[in-house]
Amino acid sequence: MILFMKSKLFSILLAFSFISIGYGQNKVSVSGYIRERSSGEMLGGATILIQPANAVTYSNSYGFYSLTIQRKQTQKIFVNVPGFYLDSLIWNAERDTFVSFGLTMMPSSNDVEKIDEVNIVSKKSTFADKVEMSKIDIPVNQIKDIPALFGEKDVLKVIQLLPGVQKGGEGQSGIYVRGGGPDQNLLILDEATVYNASHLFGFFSVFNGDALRSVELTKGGFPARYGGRLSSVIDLNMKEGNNQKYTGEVGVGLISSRFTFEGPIKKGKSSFMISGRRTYIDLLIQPIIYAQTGGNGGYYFYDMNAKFNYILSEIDKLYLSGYFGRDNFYASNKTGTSTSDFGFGWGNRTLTGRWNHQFNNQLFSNLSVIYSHYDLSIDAVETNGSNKFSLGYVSDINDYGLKYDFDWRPNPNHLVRYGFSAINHQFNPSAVVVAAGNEELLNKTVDIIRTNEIGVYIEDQIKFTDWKFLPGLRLSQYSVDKMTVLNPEPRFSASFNWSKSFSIKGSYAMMNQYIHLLSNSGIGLPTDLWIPATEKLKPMNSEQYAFGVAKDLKGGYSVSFEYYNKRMLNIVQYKDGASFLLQDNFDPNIPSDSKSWESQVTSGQGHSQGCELFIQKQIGKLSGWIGYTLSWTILQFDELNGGKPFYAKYDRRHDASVVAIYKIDKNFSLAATWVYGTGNAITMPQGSVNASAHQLQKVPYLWDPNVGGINNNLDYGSRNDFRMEAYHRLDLSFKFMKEKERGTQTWELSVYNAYSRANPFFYYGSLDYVDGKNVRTLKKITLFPIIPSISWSFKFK
Amino acid sequence: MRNLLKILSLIYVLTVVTGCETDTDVEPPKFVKKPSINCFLCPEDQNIYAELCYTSPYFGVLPDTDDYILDANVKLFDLTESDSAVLFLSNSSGVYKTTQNQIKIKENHQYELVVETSDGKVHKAQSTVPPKLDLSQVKFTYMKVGAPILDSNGRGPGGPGGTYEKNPFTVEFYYRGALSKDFFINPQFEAEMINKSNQIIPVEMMGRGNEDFYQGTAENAIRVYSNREFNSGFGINGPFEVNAIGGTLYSVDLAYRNFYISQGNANYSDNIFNEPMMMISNWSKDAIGFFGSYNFVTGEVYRK
Repeated sequence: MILFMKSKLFSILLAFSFISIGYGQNKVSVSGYIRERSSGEMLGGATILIQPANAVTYSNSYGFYSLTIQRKQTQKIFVNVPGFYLDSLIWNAERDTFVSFGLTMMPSSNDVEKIDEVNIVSKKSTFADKVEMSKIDIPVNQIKDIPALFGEKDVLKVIQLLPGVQKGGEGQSGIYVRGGGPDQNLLILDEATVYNASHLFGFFSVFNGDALRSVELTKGGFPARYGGRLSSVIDLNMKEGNNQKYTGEVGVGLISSRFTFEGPIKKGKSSFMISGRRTYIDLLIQPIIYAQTGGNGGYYFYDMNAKFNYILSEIDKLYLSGYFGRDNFYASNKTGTSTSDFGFGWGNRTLTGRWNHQFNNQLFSNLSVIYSHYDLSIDAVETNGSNKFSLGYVSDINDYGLKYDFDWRPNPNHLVRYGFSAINHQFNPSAVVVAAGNEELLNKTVDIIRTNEIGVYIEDQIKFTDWKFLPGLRLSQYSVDKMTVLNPEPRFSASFNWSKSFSIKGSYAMMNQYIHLLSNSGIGLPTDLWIPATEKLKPMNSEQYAFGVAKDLKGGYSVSFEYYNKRMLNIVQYKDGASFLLQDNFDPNIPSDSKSWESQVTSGQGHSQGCELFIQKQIGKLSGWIGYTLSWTILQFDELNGGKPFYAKYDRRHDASVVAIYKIDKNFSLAATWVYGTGNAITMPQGSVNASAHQLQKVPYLWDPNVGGINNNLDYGSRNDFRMEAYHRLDLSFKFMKEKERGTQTWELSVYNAYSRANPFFYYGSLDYVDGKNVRTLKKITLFPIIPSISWSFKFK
Repeated sequence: MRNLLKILSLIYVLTVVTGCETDTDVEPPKFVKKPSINCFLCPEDQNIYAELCYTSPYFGVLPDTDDYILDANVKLFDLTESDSAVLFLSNSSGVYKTTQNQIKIKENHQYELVVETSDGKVHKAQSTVPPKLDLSQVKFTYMKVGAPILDSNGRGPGGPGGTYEKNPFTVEFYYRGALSKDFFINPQFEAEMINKSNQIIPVEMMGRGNEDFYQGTAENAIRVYSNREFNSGFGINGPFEVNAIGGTLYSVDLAYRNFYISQGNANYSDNIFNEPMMMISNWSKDAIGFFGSYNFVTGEVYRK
């Protein structure tokens, strides 16, 4: 913050704020909030239309809207959110007015009948009309309808079903957006970065759908307000809590249970929401482990979301929200005099405090104070009599951040957003410490690496006849040790409304990323190491441009087609033969440029391009989408594959998904998803050959194939030259809801992998002795056959 | 009811756990037979060998014997001096060699090895012999031997009653001579660690690891750190200090470095935490293997 306040950038920003406050005295404005009537939850993304002025705007993620038009006109304000009844109000536009709307949700069976009426009145559609491209609002209600493994609803799994987004492999939560790695996605929960979004080694994400109000994915055409990652932004907002009445939901599944409780602290003034989950696999398998091994062991995860908010006045609101979650795997055994204990845990903690303030009808601000933490630890202790062996691995990252964002709406043709963010990262990318009979080494502390990341941005959403433009500029400054870099990041999006329902769009975005994730390609364990950009490991940079068309069709259908082209520089991978089991320096006097992880990695460049087709239907008895992506992702590293280009592991030529949800009536619904993806590109030996070895030693000897040792060398062809089998899967679910006196009871029967496709998890070679010959076969491990599950939940009125 | 639910859940978990993680055979990568050609030049060695063998399938029925190449034409060219020599088959294991003094291997000369196999394919690779490095330009600019860490339980290789020590140490190796970016340094040094009773323990100081190749900078400075530890005790106890450092300083070209690193490739995927090790060949066409060169100098570089 001090760094930032000293900069000239801050002075410019401050001056701009004062201009914003004093602007527009000869016009008249209407502003306020869009809420859901029954709960008081703010609704972001609502369309607000004023007729006959024909001025349109959208509410921001805090539900705030503002429109400024010419004075002395009687106007009618329409508010439209898909799935809600249309609301309207006559407005005598004589003076600045503050008016909030409370919208009522439609019963689901009425959607189809009402949609045409809504579109006729608003004269606008939401899909083709927006200037942003490569951005998708994930309907949280639909997430609950989509079938999932063990019936556990998962936001990230749903995001993986969208075009341009690919999953890593069977069961994994890691996502790969437009050829980018899993570290290139910025996951923000109420403004706080979530570093590891995985529970259960990646089979579930940390985001509890019950606690979420909105989820928004941006994979290109990034507005200037976002920065810090190359490939995508997944912006998740927690529910604020019902400020009208107490309500809640409990759910019982086969491997976990969950609850959500929300209600007013002071009715209409403040509210809270608390939501939690815990698995009980450990409790169920405990007797089996004890019977088989005589030991103790298990795995569990838990997470909790909590949020409190307080309305100080119509123009001031306070929010405090947090996430706390952890995974723990443990095992212990005792035989005779020997004992062993093993623990493996990882978890995130976030805390966000926010202050919304409305300076006037045109200027809205949000100040956020943010803390984020992620850690991973492995502990193993073995004792045998008086002998003791200990192993410890710790790695953590702490972020302390400050963000100040402004929305300025001087007239219907401009929406100016500007602000700044400052984050202090504290990395502890430690490594394995082994101690035999010695606790001193195990308790050794390592150097913490501190880095600062500052961003200043401004963007203006401009409307000009049938054109819309979103130019923006972000300046990002990064400092670590003696290195400081300042990078301009220009952004630009444009759209042209060919007709009321058809638009052509284009965008360009430059992004910088000052943090790397070292990830072993072979395994899905969360042994990934977050490390900062340094003088040796340069910050990552990308340029992406995209073109597309969007069309709204009758009956609530919308179609979009996009082409993207993305170049990435300074992306990082492990060197050949490198391992995450790194030794750290013994000596704290060693300068940071000798950090062992720096010597294990190498940087290169990547290029991804592809086309995405997205056909969506959000409302009506039948809803869902079809997504298809055709893409190529090629990497080039001087130190890998002999410097020759190679396919990225997650290069996916074809990726398709079909999601269909059919609401039979108010009590029954059916849902199905089908996914298909080209197999992962992996490195696999094709041949082998024996060749003479040579060792460099302090007393030299010469290479001679007639003497000395022999190595069996493997011929891999090229890196990632072999394709795993294609992945495809069908999931089904059947939902039965029944209204009870105190709420709604829901039974859900779901079937994961309905036709029991044996999708590959990983491959390995198996050597057997058959009929006097050595025979090696390639085998695949498959994790999940057909898995039926049942869950029950009850939502209180 | 609760017990029934618990039993049903248990049956479900057991079914899922046993149903999961099945393994089945899949189609392996297609095998493409390739010649493997290895040849390494060193100015200290006037016997020039080339080792030729075809690759065998990695999957399927594995052959009992190696498929040596016994009918190739192998020729070495000195591109700097326009000299050449033929390598003749010298045994049934696919080893070809020059006759004595047919061609001389010299520093900074570029050589080309040309191999024509019986299918008519011609494979070529080039290598430039690195210069012998200057030991007087080697400095150990930072050396710190930590205080011994005692085993409080009195355990160690000497058995009961002995005291086992660990001695962490850190060194900074600094080569001030010029070396082209095309070459790499590999220091193989050993230190004499001495205590107050003038007892000496030899300790491997740098080298042996695949990662210990440092690329030339062409700017007169290669600086690297090494953190290691050595054991002592049972009558030869610390604290220690460095008395002398000596050994061999190798200079190698990229192909030799890649060959050396690829030797860690003997076992595929034994460690799931490791990345696979690729063999980065410098042969044209479909051949694998390496044509590289190395050089070395030995001596003492430090004495207290």
